[in-house]
Amino acid sequence: MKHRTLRLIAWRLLMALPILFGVIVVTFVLIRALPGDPAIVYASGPNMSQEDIDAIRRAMGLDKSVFEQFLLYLNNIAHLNFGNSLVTGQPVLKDFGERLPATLELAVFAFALSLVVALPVGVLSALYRDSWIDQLVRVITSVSAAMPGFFFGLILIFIFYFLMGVAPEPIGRLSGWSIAPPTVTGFMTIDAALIGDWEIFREALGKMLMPAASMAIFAVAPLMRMMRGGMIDALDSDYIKAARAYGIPRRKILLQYALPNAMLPVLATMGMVLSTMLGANIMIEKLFAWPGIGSYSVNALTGVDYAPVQAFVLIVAVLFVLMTLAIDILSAAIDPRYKLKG
Amino acid sequence: MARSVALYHLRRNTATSVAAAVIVLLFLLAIFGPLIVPYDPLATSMQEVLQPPSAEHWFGTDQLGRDIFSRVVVATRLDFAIAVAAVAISALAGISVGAMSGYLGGWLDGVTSRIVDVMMAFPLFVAAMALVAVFGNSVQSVVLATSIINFPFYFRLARIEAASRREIGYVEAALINGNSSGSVIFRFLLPNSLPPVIVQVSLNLGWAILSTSGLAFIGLGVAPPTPEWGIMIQEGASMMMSGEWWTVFFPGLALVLSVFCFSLLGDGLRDIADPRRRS
Repeated sequence: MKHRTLRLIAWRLLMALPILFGVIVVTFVLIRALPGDPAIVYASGPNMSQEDIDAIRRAMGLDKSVFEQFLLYLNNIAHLNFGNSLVTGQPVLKDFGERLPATLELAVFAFALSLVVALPVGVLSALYRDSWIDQLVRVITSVSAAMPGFFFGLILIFIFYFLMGVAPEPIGRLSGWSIAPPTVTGFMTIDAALIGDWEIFREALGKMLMPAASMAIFAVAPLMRMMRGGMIDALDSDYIKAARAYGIPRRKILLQYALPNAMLPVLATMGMVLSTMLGANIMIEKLFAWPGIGSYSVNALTGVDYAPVQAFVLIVAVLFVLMTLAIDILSAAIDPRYKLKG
Repeated sequence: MARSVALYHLRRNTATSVAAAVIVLLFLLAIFGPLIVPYDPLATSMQEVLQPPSAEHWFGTDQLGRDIFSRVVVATRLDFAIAVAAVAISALAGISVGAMSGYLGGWLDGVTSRIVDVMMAFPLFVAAMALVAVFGNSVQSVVLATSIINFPFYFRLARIEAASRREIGYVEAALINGNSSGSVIFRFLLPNSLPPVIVQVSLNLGWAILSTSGLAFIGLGVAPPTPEWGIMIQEGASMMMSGEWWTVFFPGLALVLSVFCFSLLGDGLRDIADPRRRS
């Protein structure tokens, strides 16, 4: 059993390699295809002569063949060298390092939020099938699947910030006069908790609620649907009927037998959920001026600063491939019938 | 039990019919909207800045005094045109390549399938964003980018259909009758894979509208002052903090309504096309 799982994991990792390679090729082509000669953009001083531009070209390796440039690119990636941002003047890696924790904190929180909302409600609506709860859930999922996160976020801002005044100003991670705790993990809430500053902890959490809810809204619908469908299939199955016939308590049947099996389709839909979340992250960070890699990359993109964009696309795609892989392996580990794709 | 199932399908069909009717209405607005709106969607008026909805301005006015109702209606054309063009391109390209790949198999199938796998390795919106950057910041780029990110769905659909039907009797009969591979694909395989394609088209039209407005929201593709739902929401964003809700609410409502109806229609069509997959 264990041996089989390990072999599957190794096989799946192997299968992911050509995809990762493809992703690297695509991002390489991307930067080649972007409008504008990087050397000219880089050397955009008024007294730059053609020789200076050529010198920069040589320094950047742009005078070499495409194949050599690709090898150079591979080498750079291997050394985590993503070039410099023209806007901040810093290495892209440094910029990302400063902003990634903010993105991760928000994304993890939003993901947890969508699970906490979607899974119990999905189970509930499966247990009370065709009741008014189920009907209501169906309407909510249909609408939320059509709701862009940025629009939902603006509705939240209007209701909770403008009308009720209970939400903090929807800008950034902390208000201007609050002092950020010393960076340990980069997660504002955890860092605040580490030094026992509960006021900052509450503020950071409060600032995160509206953007996280806006990011979660799109993920809630597929998760809820899958949870409901999985639970209904599980409840209708023979092993549950057998368990009922044995007189096993209902609670135990639900939690120990039905729920784990119902989780499988939920796991299968996780790839799509992650994809939408990684996309929503860009729009939501932009809307709430969240200092993460999403808003940073959009600003770079509209500012014709391409090195960060290339790095962002590469990092997000690699993350996505790895997470899909993890979901796949997890599914295989839970369900012996699950066949690994490939 | 039987009664409740029957009731459910009736309700589902009602929902599908209503969704279809709203979509027809929206398409009519897309065609005739610019002719019937009460105001010029680009005309600014400094005397009428940020007015709440009233008898003169049903949806109020924005920060430049432009009539939001006119802008929301006129925007339908652009959003729908982008979505229809993008989905048409991706469906035609995806189905042709997918059907050929699935029918012929072999190394060609291997190569195209791997390429599509790589395409699917990028989160949809991130891919759209990067592609618009590559093609240049324009409406054509949004169309192209949207059709590229939707291509894999049609490719996979047509590929599986063609591969699973390759061995089926009528295909063999057609081949024996002297039809070429090409004519088998286009005359016999494609028409049979139409129902799932139509379902996919309906769902994709909704997604295409969502990603177009999302791109516009972050400043890509459609540019101001063009009336477009995503741009209008973006322009109204700061107004939500000072309470002028109508600047965002009405374009957002139009956006949600169209996406909602397309997905409702898609679900309804799926029930009709494939009764086994009723959800």
